[in-house]
Amino acid sequence: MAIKKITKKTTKATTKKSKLTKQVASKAVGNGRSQGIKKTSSKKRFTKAGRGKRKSSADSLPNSIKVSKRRRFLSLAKFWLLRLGLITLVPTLAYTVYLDVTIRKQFEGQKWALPAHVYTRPLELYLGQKFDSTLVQAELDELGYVDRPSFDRVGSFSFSQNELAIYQRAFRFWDGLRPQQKIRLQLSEGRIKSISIESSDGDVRQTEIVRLEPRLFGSVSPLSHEDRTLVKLEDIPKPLIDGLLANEDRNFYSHFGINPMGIARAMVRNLRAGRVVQGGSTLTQQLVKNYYLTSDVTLSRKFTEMLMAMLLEFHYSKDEILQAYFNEVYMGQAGNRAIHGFGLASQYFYGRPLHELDLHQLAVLIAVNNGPSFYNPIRHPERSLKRRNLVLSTMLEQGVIDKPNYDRAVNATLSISPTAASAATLSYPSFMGLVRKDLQADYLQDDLLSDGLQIHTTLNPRIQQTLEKAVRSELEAIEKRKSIKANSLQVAAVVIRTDNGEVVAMLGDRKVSFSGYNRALNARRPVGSLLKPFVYLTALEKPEKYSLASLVRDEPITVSQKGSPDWRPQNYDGLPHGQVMLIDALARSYNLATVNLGMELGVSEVSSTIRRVGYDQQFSEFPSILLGAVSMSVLDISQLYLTLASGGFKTPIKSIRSVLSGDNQPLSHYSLDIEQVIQPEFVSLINYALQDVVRNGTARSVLTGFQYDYGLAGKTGTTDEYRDSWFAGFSGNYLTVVWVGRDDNKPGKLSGASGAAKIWAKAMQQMPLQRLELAYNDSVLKREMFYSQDPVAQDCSLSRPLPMLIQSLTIENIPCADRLPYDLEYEDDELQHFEPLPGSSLPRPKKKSWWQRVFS
Amino acid sequence: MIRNRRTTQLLRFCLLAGIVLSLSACISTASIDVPSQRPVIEDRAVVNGQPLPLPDSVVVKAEPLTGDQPMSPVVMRLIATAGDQRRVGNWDSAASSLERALRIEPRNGRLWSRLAEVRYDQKSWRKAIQLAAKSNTLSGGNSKLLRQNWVLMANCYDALGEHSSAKGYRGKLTHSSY
Repeated sequence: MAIKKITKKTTKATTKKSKLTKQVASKAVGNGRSQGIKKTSSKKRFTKAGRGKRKSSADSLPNSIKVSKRRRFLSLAKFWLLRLGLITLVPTLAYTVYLDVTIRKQFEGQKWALPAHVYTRPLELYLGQKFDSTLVQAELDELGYVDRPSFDRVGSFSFSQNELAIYQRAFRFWDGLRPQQKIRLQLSEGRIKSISIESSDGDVRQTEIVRLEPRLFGSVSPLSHEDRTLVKLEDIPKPLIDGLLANEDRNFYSHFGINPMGIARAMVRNLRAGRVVQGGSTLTQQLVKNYYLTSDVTLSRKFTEMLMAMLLEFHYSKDEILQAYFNEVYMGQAGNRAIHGFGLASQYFYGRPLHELDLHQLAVLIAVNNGPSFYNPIRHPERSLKRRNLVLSTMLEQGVIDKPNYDRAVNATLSISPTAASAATLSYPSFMGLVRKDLQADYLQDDLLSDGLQIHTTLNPRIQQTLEKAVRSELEAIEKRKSIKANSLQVAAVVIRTDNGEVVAMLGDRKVSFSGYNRALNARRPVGSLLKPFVYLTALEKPEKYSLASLVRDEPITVSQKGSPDWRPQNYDGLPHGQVMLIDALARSYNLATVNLGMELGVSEVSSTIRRVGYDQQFSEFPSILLGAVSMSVLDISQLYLTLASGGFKTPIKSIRSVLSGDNQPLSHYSLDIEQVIQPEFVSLINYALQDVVRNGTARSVLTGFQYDYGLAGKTGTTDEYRDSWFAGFSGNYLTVVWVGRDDNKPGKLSGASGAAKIWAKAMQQMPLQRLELAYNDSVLKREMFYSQDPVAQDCSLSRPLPMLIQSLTIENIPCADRLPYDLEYEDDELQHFEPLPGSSLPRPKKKSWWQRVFS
Repeated sequence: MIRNRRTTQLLRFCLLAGIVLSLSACISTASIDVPSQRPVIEDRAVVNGQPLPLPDSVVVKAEPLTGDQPMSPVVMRLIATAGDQRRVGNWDSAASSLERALRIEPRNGRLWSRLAEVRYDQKSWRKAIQLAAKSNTLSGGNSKLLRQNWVLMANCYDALGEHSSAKGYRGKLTHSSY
C-alpha cells in the first residue's frame, strides 16, 4: 500500500518526505494487518481458555496443586495475551491517528498546489478604432462567448449590422475588478462610434474604452502537469450536483463514508457477471482514492480507503466533501496538461465557466467523469454522446430533471468549443517558453507551481495566428519553389511591439503545437548581414566624417590577423562595385564596402555599438563580425533591431505585463522602462537607410502584396552557402524577425530575401500596421543629393532626397561635391544581387529616350 | 557609340544651360532646403511602377485642442484616469493606464511626458529622464512640451546630484528658441 502524497507541492523536500511517509505508512499498515489477525485469534483462545477454566474448577477442586499451576499458567497467558493485544492495538490506533492527521492537514490547509495560470493580452475596444468584425468574433469565440440574439445570459453576444452587444463576465484585471456588465458598441463606417455600459443594476453610461477579458491559455504546471481551476459549491449549477449524485452516489447525504449495502449490491452483481461491472464506492471513497491514494487495486488499499472515507466524513460536512470532489477528479488530458476538476474541464471542453453551461453540457461532464479517456467528447464523440444520454435518462428516472428539459437536452448536439479541439495549438508552447524564462527571473519555482498566480502576458492571439498561418503556407511554398525536400526547413520567428518591447507572437518550430526545442529562444545561428546596419550606424554617428551620401569603397580588401590566415571577403555576386554611396552599400548589402568601412572605423568601435544597442553576450572581436560571423538567437537580433525601431531607446523585450496572486491581489507590474542609447538624429538616418533596403535594395521583393506604404524598414541576412536565411524588419508599430534554415546546419538554397523575408512579408501583410514615420529633429536637413549619370562628364543629372545632418554639410566625400563617378543605370551587374520578384525574370532597366536622358 | 553619347551630352548641356539662364532671374540657387518646420524627408515605396498609397490613421483623432496636437478621446480618457490614480498616490495603476494609452497612440509625445511625471513622483529619477527624452523625440517641435520635459529632466538631475547636467537643461530653457 502506498500513501500518494502528504501535500501536492512538488518540491524536493516534500518528495523526500512523501517517500519517507510511504515507508512508514506501509510498515504501519503491515503491522496493523498481521497483528490484527493475531489479535483476533488470541481473543478466541482467551475465550476458550476462560470457559475451560470455569469447567475445570468445578470438576477437580481437590487437586489444589494442579489448580494453582493451571491458574499460574492462565494468568501468565492472560498477561501475555493482554500485552500482545496492546502491542497490536497501539500501531493500529497510531495508523488511524496518522491517517486522521494526514486527512485533516490537507483538507484544512492548502488543498491543492495550484499552478500559475497564464493569460493572453486583453482585447481593447475604443472610440474611433477601426472595427474588424472577424477579429472580434474570433476573440469572442475563443473566450467561449455564444451568439445569442436574446442576449439574456452572461457570456453571450449579439451582433447586428451597426451594433455589437456583449454580456461580459466579471474579471479581475491588474488595475481593478471589472464587474459583470453589458456593453454596446455602435459602429459607423467601419469604426467604433460610441460605447455604452449597462451595469448589473441597470445604470447605463457612455464610455471611451472597454476591454474583453484575456483568455487563459496555459499554466506553469509541476512535473505531474496537474492543472485545475477551483470552483466553490455555490457556483456549481444544481443540475450538475443532482446529476452527479443520481449517477454516482444516490445515498451520498445519508451514508457515513462507505455504503455497505452498495458494496454488497455491487459484489452480487459482479459475482453474477463474473467480472467487475459495478463499483460500490461512494463519492467520498472516490475522493479519497483520487486525493490521497494510488490507483492500485489491492485489498489493503481498499481498507485504507474505507478507513479514510469514514474519517473524512467524521471531520467534514457533506458539502465540503462534495466541493473537494468537484475540484479534485481527473477529467482529461490536453497535451501534457492533466485537466483536473469540473471547473477547468468546463473551460477546456466549452471555453466557458461552469455556471454558463447548459444541461446537456453538464451531462457530458458527468459522463466524462465516469471515464475521462473512454468518454472524451473530442476523441470519442459518439461514445460520449451515448453516455451523456444515459446520464440524462438516469437524471430523469431519479426525478432530478423533468421531461421537457430531458427532451431538449437529449436532442442537443455535443457542441464542444472549437478551441477545445485545437487546445494543443492554442497553448502557444513557444511563447510559454519565454514566459517561463521571464518568470523564473522573478519568482521562485515553488510559488509558480503552487500559489495559483495569475500571469497576464503580452501575447496577441490574432497576431500569433497570423504568424502561424504565414509560416505554414510560406515554408511549404518556399520548399516547393526551391525544390527543397519537404519539411526539411525549420523556422524561428518573433513579433514585438516597437513602442514597449512586448512580444505579441512567437514561434520556435514549424509545427506550432510542438513544445520541445524552442529555436526562437535557444537556437543561436550566424546572423550574416543583419549586423551591417550597426557598422553603418557607427559611421553615421561621426557626422563630420560620414553621411548617407558618403562614398565608400566597394573594393577588394585583405585583412591580416595575427595567428590566422589573411581574410579576403567577397561580395555575394563576386564582383566589386567601386565607389558607392553609403546608403546604397547597405541597401545592396555589399560585403566589400562594409568591411572597408568597418576596418576604417575599427572593429572594436563597431563591437561597442553592437553591445550598446542591446547585445549583452560575449563575442570575439574579429573583423569577421563586420559580416555577421556571430551566432545569435532570433530574440537577440530582435533586441538589437528593437532599439532601432523604437527610435534609439533600448527597450527590454518582455512577455509579461502583470502578475496577480491566487486570491486576486496585484503583485507586480512590469513597467515600461527605456534607455536612450542612440541619439535620435542618428537613428533617423540609419532607419532611412533601412527603409531604402526595402524600397530599392535587397528586400524590395517584400513590398509585393502590401496594400499601403507603411514606410517599412528592414535588412536581409544570408550566411555562407545559404545555411541561414534571416530577415529583420519593422513598421511603425511591429518588429518581426524571422530565421529559416536547417537543424543539421547543412548548406541550403535560401538567401534572406528568398526565405525568411517571404514569411516576414506574408505575416506583416496581415497585421494591423502603422506607418513608420521617422522623427527628424532640428539637426537633420533634407538635401537633394545629385549624382552623375555619366562617370566621365560628371553632370550630376540624377538626384534623390536624403536626410543629412548639418555637421555633414562640409564633408567633401559626397558625389558631385567632388564629382566622383556614381551611376545607377549602367551598373547592371549589381542587379544580380537582387532577389527577382516572384514570377518575374531579372528586371533590366529600360533604355531611356534622348528626351528622358536630357531632362532626367 | 561614344560620339553618339557626346552629342547627347552636348545637346543636353545646351538645353539645360538655356533653361537655367532663362530661369535664373527668378529662382534662388540654394540646393539646401532649410525648412522652418521639421523636414519631411521621404521616398515612397513603389510596386510595379506605382507608388503605394499611404495607410489610413488607426485612430480617428478629435479636433485639436488650443495650441496642442490633436488627441483622441480615448487617450484623453485614459489620461484623466491616470490623473485620478496619480492624485491618490496609486503610481503603478497610473503608469498602467498611461501605458494602455501608449499602446493606442505610441507616438504621442505628451503621453510619454505624463509617464515621466509619474516616475518623477515615484522618485525614479533615471526612468523619468529617459521617458522625458523619449517624449522630446516625439514632440514634433511642440515648445510647451519640450520645455516641460527639460524642466523635469533638470529637476531629476538635481535630485541625482548631477548639477551640471541639470544646469544644461535649465540653460536650454533660457537659450533655446523654443
